[in-house]
Amino acid sequence: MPVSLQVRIEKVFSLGPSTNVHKVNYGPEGQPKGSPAEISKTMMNNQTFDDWTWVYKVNVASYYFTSAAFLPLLCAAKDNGFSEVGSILNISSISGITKGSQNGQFSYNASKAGTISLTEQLANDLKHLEVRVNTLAPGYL
Amino acid sequence: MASQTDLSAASLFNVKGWVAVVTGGGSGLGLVTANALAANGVKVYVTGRRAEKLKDAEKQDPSGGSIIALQMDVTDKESIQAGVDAISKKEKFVNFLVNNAGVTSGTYRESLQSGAFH
Repeated sequence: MPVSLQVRIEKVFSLGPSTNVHKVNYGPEGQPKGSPAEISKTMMNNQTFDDWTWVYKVNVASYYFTSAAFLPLLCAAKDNGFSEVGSILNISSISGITKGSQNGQFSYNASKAGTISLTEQLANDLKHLEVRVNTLAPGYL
Repeated sequence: MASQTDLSAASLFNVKGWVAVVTGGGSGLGLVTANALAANGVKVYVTGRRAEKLKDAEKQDPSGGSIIALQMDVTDKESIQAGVDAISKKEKFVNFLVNNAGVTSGTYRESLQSGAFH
């Protein structure tokens, strides 16, 4: 067990006997551990529906609407002395590619996978306008 | 085929005179992106919800590039359109849009800290 995790768990237990926590809530690869009931509780309490939709709203839906709104200005570049129209870069994340939840970041990772899908769809649907749409998946910063 | 000079790195990566928009450009990766563009002669509009944070990012670079703050909420269609309208009044085109604004989710660890397991 990593030292930082051990310290964290000790800190939680130091909160007192009324603190109802599982002995180990997630394993070294971020997967929840314990009995099926404990895993269920961990996952159910991890986030709310609003947490999920907020992450999706910012990381995916906002990219769609912002891209759509800027299309005329992007296409206008070619009418103003440039050899190409403007292009779009959508910042996704390595978390949009990874198979695990990275300690329960289900909604974030799903949203960043969504960013990648959105990018592919925009690139496909805007190719007749010559607008290139790419995505970048940064790792840990 | 492109001429030999067109294939030089300086030409291939030339962005001087571009206009760019970086959402969430007031901090983090967006701010670094904006600075990298501005350092190479790009006029960059950085957008975000926090006007003060955006103002701190503003600068004029010796390369001719600059960073200009523009308050815009990317989760609000009207705010996005207002941002486009504001830029349209000053620019005829945009060469590069970076959709960078993002939020993270909680992890099990953070749930533990916030006491969500009680």
